[in-house]
Amino acid sequence: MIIVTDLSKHFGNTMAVDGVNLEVRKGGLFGLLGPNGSGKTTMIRMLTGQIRPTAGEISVHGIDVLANPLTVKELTGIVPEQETPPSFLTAEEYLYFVAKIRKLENLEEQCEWWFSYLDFAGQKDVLCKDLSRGTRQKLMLAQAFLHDPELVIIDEPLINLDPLMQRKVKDFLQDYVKRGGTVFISTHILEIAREICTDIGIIYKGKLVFSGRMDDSAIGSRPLEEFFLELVN
Amino acid sequence: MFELFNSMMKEEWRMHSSFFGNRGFALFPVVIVAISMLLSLSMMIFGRIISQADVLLGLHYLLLFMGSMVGGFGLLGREVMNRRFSQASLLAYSSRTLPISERFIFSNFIVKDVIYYFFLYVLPFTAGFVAGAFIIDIHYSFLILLMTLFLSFCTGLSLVFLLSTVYANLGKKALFLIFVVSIVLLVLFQGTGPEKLYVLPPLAMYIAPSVDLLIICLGLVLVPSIISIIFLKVDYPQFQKHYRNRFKGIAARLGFYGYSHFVAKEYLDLSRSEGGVGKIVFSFLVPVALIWLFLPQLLKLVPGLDILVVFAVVVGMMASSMYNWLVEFDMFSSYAFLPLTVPDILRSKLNSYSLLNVIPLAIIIITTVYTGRLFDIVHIVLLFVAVSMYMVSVTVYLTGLNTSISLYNAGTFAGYVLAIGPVVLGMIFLAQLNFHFVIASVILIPVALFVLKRSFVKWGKWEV
Ligand SMILES: Nc1ncnc2c1ncn2[C@@H]1O[C@H](COP(=O)(O)OP(=O)(O)OP(=O)(O)O)[C@@H](O)[C@H]1O
Ligand SMILES: [Mg+2]
Repeated sequence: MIIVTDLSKHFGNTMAVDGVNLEVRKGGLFGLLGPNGSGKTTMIRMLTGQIRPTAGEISVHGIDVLANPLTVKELTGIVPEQETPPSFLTAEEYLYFVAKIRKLENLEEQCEWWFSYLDFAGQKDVLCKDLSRGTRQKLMLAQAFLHDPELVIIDEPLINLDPLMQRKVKDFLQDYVKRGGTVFISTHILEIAREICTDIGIIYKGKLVFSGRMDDSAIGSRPLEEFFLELVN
Repeated sequence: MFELFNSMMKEEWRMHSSFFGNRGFALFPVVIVAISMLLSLSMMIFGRIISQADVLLGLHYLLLFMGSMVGGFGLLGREVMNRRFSQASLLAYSSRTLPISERFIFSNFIVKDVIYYFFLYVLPFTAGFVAGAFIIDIHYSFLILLMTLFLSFCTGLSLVFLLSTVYANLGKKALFLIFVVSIVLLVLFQGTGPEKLYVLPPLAMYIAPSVDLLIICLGLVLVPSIISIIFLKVDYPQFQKHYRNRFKGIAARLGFYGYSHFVAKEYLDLSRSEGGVGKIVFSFLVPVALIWLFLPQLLKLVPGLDILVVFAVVVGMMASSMYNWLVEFDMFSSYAFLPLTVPDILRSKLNSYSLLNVIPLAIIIITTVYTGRLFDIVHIVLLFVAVSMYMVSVTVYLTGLNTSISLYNAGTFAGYVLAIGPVVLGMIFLAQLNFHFVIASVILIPVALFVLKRSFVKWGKWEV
């Protein structure tokens, strides 16, 4: 689903991403792990055609992201790291706005489903600027799934969510993969990866230091934390 | 006490310089010097028809006008800060986390802004003007002129600050009040000679400096500002407001129109943010009213100029500032993850811009009718539309989606002035030769469309 070749991104002297090679298979729930500032967000922004790499190639859905970023964004659901939806639309209006951009019709049911599943129906008519952070995150998640994409890329899916909602989102993501979707998430919380991911990649200071199946023999049954610390030291 | 202030100054500097390097920002005043020097050198040509007193009058009112253009920034406490920086991480927000009062922060914020305006505009403007005049052997006392021009600027700023605070507190009722006040002012000044205009205290003070006048000037600046700060309205939402889904309806009604959802969004942005309507009033209608007040006097000085032509040109220029508000509402990063390109957003903003132009267009039509020149309406409207389109195309080409901040780049600003100055002056000049030559402005329309096309190519390559 995603093939990354020799991918690098430099910001001035910072090597945010440094020569990464990675393949994410279709139907997997891939977790990109790494500490703060390791390059996860930068990776995701390149995968989704939001910024151009300094060097390297990316193919998503078999499409060259550099040549056709728009097509990739059309086919993919994306939840960016800390983007707030436009402030003077209500939550519900925002979903309709995104739907218009994605040329979707008849959304009532789907929107209602999201409002009740993530339990924010009471907030759907509140302006985005007045929503709590957690509710905004719920809205951004809903937005990414509206067009029922084959691939969803989420930067920190559970950020700002309470434990109950985290559970629901995790369930949803796993279910999504079961139904044939592919999910790519980034996180620095190792338990999440252990719990839901089928594949992981570990990025450290811009370099991919591990990638493989969650049940890879290199990881074994050790706590992920131990494996992680071993890799980065 | 000064720490907050210092960090705000630094923050502002970094914000601009991180955007286009220290040099681009630091050279901005140099461009202003060059412009004002050219202006004063032009007295060589116009000096015969314009007296020194008129020059001083023009200068002080120009600065008053500039002050009034930026004074609306005191509009709605938090919201303006929000609009201005479009992000919530700045020091202006620290009252949420630090134990200092809103008022204190806001006062610091205003003083910081005023100091920036002083160094970016007033000082270089005065210096350039005085230097240019010196070359052609006209002498001003620089320090006094600097002081009175700065006072003039602050007067405009503090008066609009006060008006906007009244508006923030009273809401729509205030609009009525302001409307009444402006009518009274218009009637008061209508048809009188320029003598009354010399009453402006900073101007009077330059001509005949006295302590009394200085006190009046300071009072005129400080009293409205202090009142505004006392009555500063910072809206913390006390309760969550609920809104009906109006987006769906509006977008559906405009469905035939490719950008209906963007128009709907922008309409809701404008109408739901109190600052939206306020912005139209304070950054647009108030300055337009001031221009209308001042133009007849100016035109008495430069015989043969057609007031409606000048008005149409000036309003067309000012209309393009509406593009600036539209792009200030949001940043491309909130669309970057959707299947949209920068040119898509530019197009949607231009669509909304065209719709908003109904307001200045109405003003132009009303003034044309009001002055009894119904027969010239086609010329005047054409001129306005052409100037507005041309201005916005240049703005889009040079600044894309970051208008307010990019114009502080010396290079960009110089390009802007060079692209616009000759065209605007040329139009006025043509009209003076023969009113019917105004029709020539029609060529600005294809030029604007071409520039826009180039802009889409240029900004399509840009990345956040
Ligand atoms: N626009 C930018 N300009 C300059 N440097 C940047 C930019 N974006 C990211 N960086 C730098 O690149 C590195 C990687 O940042 P990135 O945001 O990708 O990390 P991350 O893994 O997502 O971290 P976190 O877990 O904190 O979200 C950091 O050193 C960061 O400072
Ligand atoms: Mg990140």
